Amino acid sequence: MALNINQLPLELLDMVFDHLKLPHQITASQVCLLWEAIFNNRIKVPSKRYKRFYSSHGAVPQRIHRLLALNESWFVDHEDPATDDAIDYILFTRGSDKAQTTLSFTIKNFEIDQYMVQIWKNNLHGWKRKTINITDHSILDEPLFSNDTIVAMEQSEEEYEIPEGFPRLAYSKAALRDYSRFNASFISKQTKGVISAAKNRFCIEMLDNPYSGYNLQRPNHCGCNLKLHFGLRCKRYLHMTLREFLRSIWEETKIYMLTQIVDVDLDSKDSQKDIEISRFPNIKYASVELTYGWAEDMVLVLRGVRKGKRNYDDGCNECSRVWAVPQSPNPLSQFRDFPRNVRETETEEDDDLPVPQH
Amino acid sequence: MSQIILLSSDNVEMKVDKEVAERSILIKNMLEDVGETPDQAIPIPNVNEGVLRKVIEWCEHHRNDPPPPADEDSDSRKKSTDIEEWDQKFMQVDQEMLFEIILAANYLDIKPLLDVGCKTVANMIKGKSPEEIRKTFNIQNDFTPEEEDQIRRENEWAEE
Repeated sequence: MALNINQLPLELLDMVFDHLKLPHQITASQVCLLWEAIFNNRIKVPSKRYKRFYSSHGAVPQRIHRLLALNESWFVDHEDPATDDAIDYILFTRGSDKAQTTLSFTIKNFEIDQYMVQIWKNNLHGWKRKTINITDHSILDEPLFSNDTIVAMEQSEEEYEIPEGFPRLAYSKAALRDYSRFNASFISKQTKGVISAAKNRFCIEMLDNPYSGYNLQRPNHCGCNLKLHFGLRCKRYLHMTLREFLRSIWEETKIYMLTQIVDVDLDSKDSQKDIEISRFPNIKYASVELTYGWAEDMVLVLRGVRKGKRNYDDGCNECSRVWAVPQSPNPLSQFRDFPRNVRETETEEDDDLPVPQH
Repeated sequence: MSQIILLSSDNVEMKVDKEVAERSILIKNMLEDVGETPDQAIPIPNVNEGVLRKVIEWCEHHRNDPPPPADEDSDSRKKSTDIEEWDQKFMQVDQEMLFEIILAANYLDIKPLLDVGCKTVANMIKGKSPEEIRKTFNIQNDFTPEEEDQIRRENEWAEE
C-alpha cells in the first residue's frame, strides 16, 4: 500500500509544520483532525511571573479588553524586506476612522515573542501613539497571555491520582477535538488562543494551577466536591452578562459542556451572591465570558462545598480534604485573599490598589 | 579510499565510499563503535534498495558539505523553505518515494536530507487551501460538516 503523509511519525509531521509560517500552519490545521491536533500541540511553555495592569482610571486595561472583544480585525503577515528575516506581525485593530487601539505580535523563530498594544491618544498636541509591551502583564489576576497546552495538561495529569470510577481521559477523536477547542479559549501565545480572544472569552484554569493548589481530580470518597459555587465580585460595571462554561469529564470519551447564562445587575445586591452551578463530579476548568463590560476588577472564586450544604470553610466536614484557597499568581493583587473574605464583601476596598512596580 | 557495503532491507548490497556513508550519523557512529572498516555488509533494515540508492545519491552529491550547525534548531534552518536547485530536482519524485526518503533520512540520522524532505513537503502545503492540500496528499477529510463549519468560523479572521 502506498505510503501516505499521515503515516509518517508525528514528530516528522511536526517538523514539516516547523517549516510553515503561521498563516500556512493555520490553513494546514484545517485539513484533518490529525493536523489540527499537531497544530494545537505546537507550543512551548515557559513559566513566567506576570504583572497586573494598573492605571489610575483603568483606561489601559479597558482598552485592551475592548480590543480583545474584537468585532473588526485583520491579519497582516509580512517579511522584513531589508533583512529578509522572517519577522511577522499580526495585527488586530479596533476603531473606525483612526485605529484607536492595536494589538500586535512579533514572531521570532515561528513563535510569538512579544505582544504590544498601540493606543492613539488625542491631547493638546494632536494624536499621539503610545506603545505598551503587554507580554508579561495580566488584566485579570490571571496572565493576559497563557501558554497552556494540551501537552502540558497531559503531562500534569500524570502527576495526579484519578478518583475511583473516573477513568483517565482518553483523547478520542471527538474528545481531542473538543478539548482542543476548549484550550483555544485561552488567550494564549498559541494562535488558537488569539482566535478565541476574538470571541471575548477569558478562561481561568482552576486545576493544576500552581498558585491555587486546586486539584479536583484527587480521590474524594466522601463526594465533597460534588457541588461547587462560583462567587463573583465585580464593581464599576453598569451591567455585565456572564456565561459560565463548565466542563465535566464523566466518561472516557465524553466531555460535557454545560452553559449557564446569568445576567447580573451589578448595581443590585444580587451581584454579590454566589452563582450556584449544578452538580459535576469532576470539573476541570471554569471560564468566564464577558459579553459586556471589562474585567479589571473581576475575580472568579471556585469553592468546594459539602454536598447539599453551603459551607465556606476550607475543609470538608466529613473527610480530611482541605480545599486550598485559590490565590492569585500576582502577589500585589487585591484579590489575593478574597475567598476568605467572601461573606463580608466591601466593594470600595479596592480603591486602595497597590501600584505594581513595573 | 575505503569502501563499505550497505545491505538494504530487500537484501541488495551496495558499495559506498566510507566518507559518503558517514553523512549518516547512524552509520558513522556504528563504524566508530566497530573501530575498523567492516568486511561484512552493514544491514539497513528499514530502507529498501530504491530508497537507499536515492539516499546514497544525495550523500554523494553532498559529500563535501560542511557538517550541519551544532544547534540543530537554528533559526535559519527552520525559517526558510528555500531548497537548493540540485536538491529540488533530486526531490522531484512521487510522493511515496518522498516520504520514504524522509523516513530513511530520519532513521539514518541525516539531518540535512531530512530538512530538505520536510521543506519539500512544506512547499507542497504552502499557499494551498485545506481542500487543495487534501487533494495533493490524498487525505480524507475526517471533520464532520459541523466541525468544518466551526473551524471555518474560527479562522475567518485569519483569512481576510
